[in-house]
Amino acid sequence: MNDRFEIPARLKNTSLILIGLGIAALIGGITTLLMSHDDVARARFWAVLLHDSVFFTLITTVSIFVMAAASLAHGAWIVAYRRVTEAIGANVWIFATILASILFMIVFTFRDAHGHNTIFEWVTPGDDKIYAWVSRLSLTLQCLFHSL
Amino acid sequence: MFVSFTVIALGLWAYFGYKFRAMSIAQESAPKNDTKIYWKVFRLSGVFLFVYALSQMSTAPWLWIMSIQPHWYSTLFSWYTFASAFVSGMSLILLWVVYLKNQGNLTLVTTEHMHDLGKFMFAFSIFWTYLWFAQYMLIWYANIPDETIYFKLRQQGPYSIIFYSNFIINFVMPIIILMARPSKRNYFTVTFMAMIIIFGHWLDFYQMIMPGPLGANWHINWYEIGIFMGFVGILIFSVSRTLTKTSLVPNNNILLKETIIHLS
Repeated sequence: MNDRFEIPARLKNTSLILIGLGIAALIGGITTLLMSHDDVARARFWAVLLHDSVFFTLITTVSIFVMAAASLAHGAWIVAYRRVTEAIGANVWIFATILASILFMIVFTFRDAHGHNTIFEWVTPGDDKIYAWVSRLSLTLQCLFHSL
Repeated sequence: MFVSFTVIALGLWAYFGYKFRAMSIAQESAPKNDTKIYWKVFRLSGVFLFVYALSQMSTAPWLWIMSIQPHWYSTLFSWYTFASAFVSGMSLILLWVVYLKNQGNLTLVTTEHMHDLGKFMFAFSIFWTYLWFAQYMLIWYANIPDETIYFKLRQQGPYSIIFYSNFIINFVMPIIILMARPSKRNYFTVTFMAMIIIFGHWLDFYQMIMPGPLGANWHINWYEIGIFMGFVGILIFSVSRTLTKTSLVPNNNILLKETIIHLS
């Protein structure tokens, strides 16, 4: 049985228009939010990117989870639309790449006017004991991890 | 720690996503009724669930989301984000299945399969609410300032509108609309609810992330909506391209007969 899916022109155009709008919003965000001297606007620029990339990575990964759970339980009902979950799962890498690059850019490059990272505050702990503790814990674990 | 964990977790997810699809395609050219690949998928599923339980279900959201407010902690936070992601992921699968059926593909999928997908959306909305309540109620009851700071900002502060609409969209609407059997077998209702649930959980993630960095200055404006649309565009573009590459019927899958006769 062969059941091929051809992308209709409308779907392709819709997706390209949506990507275009996203790129336009990103460029607008870079020029008006990231370039501004307002710390909240710059935090907003990164936080929104973080929000969407985390959200889309997690919901696409769920497809892999659904397949794995069904396979482990010998579930058969999923097989009828298995190609859909596979296609979503096979594209996790795109969102994972976006998420990783955004996380690392926030951690390593984002600082406000006073040199604080206002999204991940533990990156620049200052005098705060808990932030310092979180940073120190992660350092310790990292040393442990490397020594293994 | 943060960097290595992020790279390992995301890398493993991406690898398993690729691997499951590759194995399923390999099954098409395997000898008929050969169960070798089937058991390989079975074993790797166990490995994936182990990886997934140690990343998404327990640690990854701590690092990526909960560490935005490091003074506050909740031990079931990752499980809560998993529930949130699971309902929206199920809704996403359902939207694709409905779309493909409307195009005349996926002839094997019947109302019975749609009913089961609808059940997942319904049941896990309730599961999400259970975790939401478990997190909220214990913090409210204990009333420790370290912990209540999280909900004070969200429930009584500038985010109260998102806080309450989150609860209404993700609990009240699914339980009322998806409760009845006919509504889960109606293509319009399930599609509508899938979109509502994805939007609702997008809001849920919004109220998890934004109060830390932005405080009272939150917006849902051209930038937020534009970036969201961009991600939807990437999703539609990439998934539809992947779907064209193989037959939508997993030929030679040894459970094919069972799925055709499936009754919900």
